[in-house]
Amino acid sequence: MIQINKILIIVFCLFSSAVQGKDYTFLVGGGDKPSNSQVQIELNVKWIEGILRDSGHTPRVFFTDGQAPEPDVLTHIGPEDDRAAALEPLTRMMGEYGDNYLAFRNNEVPNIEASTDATKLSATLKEAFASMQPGDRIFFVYQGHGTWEKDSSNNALLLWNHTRLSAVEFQELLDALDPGVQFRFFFPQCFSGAFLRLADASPLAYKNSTQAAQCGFTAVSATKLSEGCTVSLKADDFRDYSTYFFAALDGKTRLGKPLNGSADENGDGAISLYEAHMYSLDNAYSTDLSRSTSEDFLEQWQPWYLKWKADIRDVPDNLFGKRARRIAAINNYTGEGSTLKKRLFKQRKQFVEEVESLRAKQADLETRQSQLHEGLKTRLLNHWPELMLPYTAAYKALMDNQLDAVLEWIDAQEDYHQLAAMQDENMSRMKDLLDLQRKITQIDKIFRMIQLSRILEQLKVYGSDEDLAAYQRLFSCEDNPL
Amino acid sequence: MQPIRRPRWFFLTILILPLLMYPAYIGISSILDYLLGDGLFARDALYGSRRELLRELLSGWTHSILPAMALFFLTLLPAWLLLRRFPWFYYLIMLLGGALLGYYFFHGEVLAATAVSITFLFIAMLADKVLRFSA
Repeated sequence: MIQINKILIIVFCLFSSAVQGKDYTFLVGGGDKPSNSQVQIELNVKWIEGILRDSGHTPRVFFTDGQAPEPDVLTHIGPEDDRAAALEPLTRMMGEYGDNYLAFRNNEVPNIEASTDATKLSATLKEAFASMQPGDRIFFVYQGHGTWEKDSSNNALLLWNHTRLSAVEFQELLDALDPGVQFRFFFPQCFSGAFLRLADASPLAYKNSTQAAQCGFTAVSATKLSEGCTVSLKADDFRDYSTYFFAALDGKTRLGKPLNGSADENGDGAISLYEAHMYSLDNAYSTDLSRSTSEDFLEQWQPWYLKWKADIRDVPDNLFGKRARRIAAINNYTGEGSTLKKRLFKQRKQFVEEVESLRAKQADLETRQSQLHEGLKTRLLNHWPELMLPYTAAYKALMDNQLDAVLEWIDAQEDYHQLAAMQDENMSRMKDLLDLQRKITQIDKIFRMIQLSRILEQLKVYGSDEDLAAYQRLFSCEDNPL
Repeated sequence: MQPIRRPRWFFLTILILPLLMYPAYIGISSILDYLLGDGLFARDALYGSRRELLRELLSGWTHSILPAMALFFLTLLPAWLLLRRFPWFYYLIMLLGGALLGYYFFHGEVLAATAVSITFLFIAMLADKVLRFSA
């Protein structure tokens, strides 16, 4: 009897998978060259790969140079390494502050299928997409850098060997998909908003589906840098969009700590991608103002005569209105209605003024630092001109035999210590600047949620049935679990 | 109204005046919105950058040209009939006409209707000047 039950279950599983279609997950990551392939990207890819596997997916992983043994990841070894720390005076003088702590190694990402070289990756994706059947679902996750172009449709993913794959080229790849295959994406790179154009609100041609064929999420608009491009280097200071989005899907943070409240907004026991996006909006203290394709649809839909309409009514109590209030509460902006708005305006203005003042001070500091640096470097090179020619035998001999003397000389210079203090102060100001930009983003996030709450209400009043249905299809596509 | 003595100026100005309607509406709306509403105008957050904001403004302005011209030419008729003897009545008609149009078009939203109404009043003042100058 037990045997028969087992057979029945297996037959049912096989049958249901054939009917429901298969899930395909692509995880593409890394930089375009070793010096631009930071260890943070590798850590993100490893973490996300684990989450995807735990949720029953088998991601196809593409990372930098694939399984080639050459070093392809830039790591930060930290001041605890005595050899690296000893070189600090020389790098402060001859290179960039902090370069002495950088190192390269081969990646440690498990289950890599191939390199991310754009030509090879495009061919692989094209082949995979062409073989998919109606009812199949794709989740595409990218972890890497992005570029900006004047025509945002040419904003691109920066892939291995200095290759690139633009939003337009990616769209062409998707043309190979059967209209019954659903494609969902996650792009957290700089200027990623350009990839929102991959959205396709047309109905998924599979079993009278009420979902859109293509939808997804990006960290920022097509014109903004993302948090991933900032100075944060420590694992516990990762604040990019992926950090919050995948933590919500995993039910715990990347450091294994519990989430700030449940991400399961509708209480159905499963976290959808949109719920993960909402969790990110609520909790991300970063410079990312993440977007989804349904939100982008609302902004694109809004007719010209409604874009600049003044509104006296209170913020609507819809999905976005609730979010605006929640983000305000999380960031300790108390009050309601115009009191809250005035406070936000005042606070934002103050932060912007602080940013301008900090930038002016930083520019002044950099000028003084540059003058000091030039004088000191000239004196150093007068003593040891070999330092000018780093790929010569004379340079090697100097490094082998007189490095200690060079370091002692630098340390004995009074103005070197002034320079070091200035460089440290500059780094500290960059962190302060980043923190101010994060604070401004929290306010902008509230403003954007208020604006979206208004547009959603306008869609109900001014939109056609087809407009409403297109929005609903995109939202349903985003609101599915992994 | 007296016959037009400066036709070149008259025709040039009635072509330019409708182009000012949308910027005037935006300006008035933004002031009202800042004072009484959300104050959501000109936020980088909503449009990504100032460049994108400008692109949105230009796009709205180009869309508005034809409807603005149609509206402006409609206002010329009462101006022609009323300005000479009952200028105050012309201004009142424009103010109320703008309010009604805004109220109907924006589904009863008071602040938006007020912005349209004040824009119409502003355009009426300009039309008055133009017609008097051209006559």
